[in-house]
Amino acid sequence: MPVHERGYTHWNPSGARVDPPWLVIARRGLAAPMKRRWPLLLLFAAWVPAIVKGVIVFVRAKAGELMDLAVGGDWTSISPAGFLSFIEGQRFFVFLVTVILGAALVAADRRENGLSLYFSRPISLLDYLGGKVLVVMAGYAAVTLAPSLLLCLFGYLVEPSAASLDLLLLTPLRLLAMTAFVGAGLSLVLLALSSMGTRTVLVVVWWAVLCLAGDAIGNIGDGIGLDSFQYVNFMGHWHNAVSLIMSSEARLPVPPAVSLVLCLALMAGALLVLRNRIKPVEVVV
Amino acid sequence: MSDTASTIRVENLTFAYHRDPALRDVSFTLEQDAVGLLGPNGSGKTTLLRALLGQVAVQPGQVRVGELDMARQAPEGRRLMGWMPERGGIIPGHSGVGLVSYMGELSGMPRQDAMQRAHEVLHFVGLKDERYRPCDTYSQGMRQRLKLACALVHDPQWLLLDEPTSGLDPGGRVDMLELVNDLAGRKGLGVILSTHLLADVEATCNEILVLREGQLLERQPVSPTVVGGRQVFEIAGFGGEEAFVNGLRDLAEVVEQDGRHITAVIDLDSLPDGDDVPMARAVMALLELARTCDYAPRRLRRRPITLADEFYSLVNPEGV
Repeated sequence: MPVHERGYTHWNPSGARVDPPWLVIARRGLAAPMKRRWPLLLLFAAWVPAIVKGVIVFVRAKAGELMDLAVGGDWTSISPAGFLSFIEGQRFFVFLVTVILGAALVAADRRENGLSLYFSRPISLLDYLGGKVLVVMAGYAAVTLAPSLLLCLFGYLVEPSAASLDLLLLTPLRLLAMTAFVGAGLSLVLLALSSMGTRTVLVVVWWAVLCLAGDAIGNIGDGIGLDSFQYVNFMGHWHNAVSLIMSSEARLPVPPAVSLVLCLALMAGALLVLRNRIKPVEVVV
Repeated sequence: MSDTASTIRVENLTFAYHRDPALRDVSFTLEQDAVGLLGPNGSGKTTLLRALLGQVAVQPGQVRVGELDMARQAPEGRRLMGWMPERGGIIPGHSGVGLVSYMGELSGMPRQDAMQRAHEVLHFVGLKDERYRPCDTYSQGMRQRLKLACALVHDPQWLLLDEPTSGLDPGGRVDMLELVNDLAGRKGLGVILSTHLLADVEATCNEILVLREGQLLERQPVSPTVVGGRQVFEIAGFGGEEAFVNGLRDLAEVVEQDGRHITAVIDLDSLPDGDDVPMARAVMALLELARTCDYAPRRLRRRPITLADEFYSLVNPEGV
């Protein structure tokens, strides 16, 4: 019988596999922005530096020392420190991708009384948060981890040797650990900002202040010889903290351990905000 | 599913937002049926629905859906319930079918089942031609239908509807009530309809719970035959109105004046025995009172007591 003639019918479960709620939320959270063209273009643009680095790695393998003289510095290296430099260089794309994916994630739910809808389903706060965090982390990984891993593979293929075997083993593990820490931290802070109001534009402004203005102030401090300005370098602290994992020298004139403590405190604060803000209550607008 | 799975049991439910009590010692048991939750704004209707869903931590008190204690087993309990909120409840960025299938997946349905079921319930609520449109472009009537579809997608045993006809035009309201009637009457779903519109309850429910200031005031069937021998008399006239009204207070349960006429609710069963039928005795008693008070009635009209009379007398006990 055609569906329009049946009226209301009871559900007859097929017995197929059921996805956990956090995965459903993450999948939907990623699918919605990807339906538009410009986020895809942005992702493509974010891969351009990786392509450039790949070309340099290739040419260096073929031209040897000559290339090192032409384009020196960490950024072109395929060592763990080189990858950290590369990821630092991606921070503008990280800002754009995370803000596109994450700014509205909680704010829109609060604005539209979506939390009430979510928590009328058999899901927990952990499912909800896990799904939302995964959305932002996936965006972060798409512009940092994914190109780095491909460069690792490319670097090994260009110059396979026992010495470069590290590119297939230890370096990817370091990159994964770094992405998990920085990605989760940035996601939690962004979601906490998103949960503090219902207007997405305010989240964008605050995220820009944290990511870009903090970096700019830190650089101004460097310029005038005031290292203490780097304490407000939000993104810098995350990279400084993971310099321990990446066997790199400190990225800021601040001990990495101090940056690590600051980052952990930020994550704890963000979790506290999220726990208090994400409740199935209606928002009167 | 066993019969007990369809029972909602609420015991001594108390809840406060900060220090403002929203629910006070509410207790009832509901079998799967159409139940109206009536009360003025701020009486605790929505909070009660949230408590049934396990969205607010009730203390003291207990909510059980079937054998499930909603304080500890809320996720399992929510599988048995579909929730249609009054405000919002639409997550932007999805098409109609996308949102409904999303809600299905979150309710524990496999992806393909959720999508297939989303199409079915959207057909049922009358959104089959609009299901691929972005849901943030829907009209108010379509949004209400979409929310009903979201509530139905996982085939719940109970539907919790918070002001489902809010913002609908008369045609949309009738359509929505017909859907609710169909679900409760013919499909066997339990429905709890929270509203302040008495007509919606009369059109769809078999029983009402009346809340005021967080307390459950009354629970009764929606049927004119079960309100006892109480009748409403509307009297208009001139003369000694004040004395007549004072005398009426001894005769009637409720007496109200609105400037045009006097309304009195008289319980016919409480009148002294006599040879005449109770109605005739009530009319004679009124006329006798009018004569002794020098009040000249020029109009005396009787009507059965309605749900509206019951409701207003419950939520506004002071009367005149």
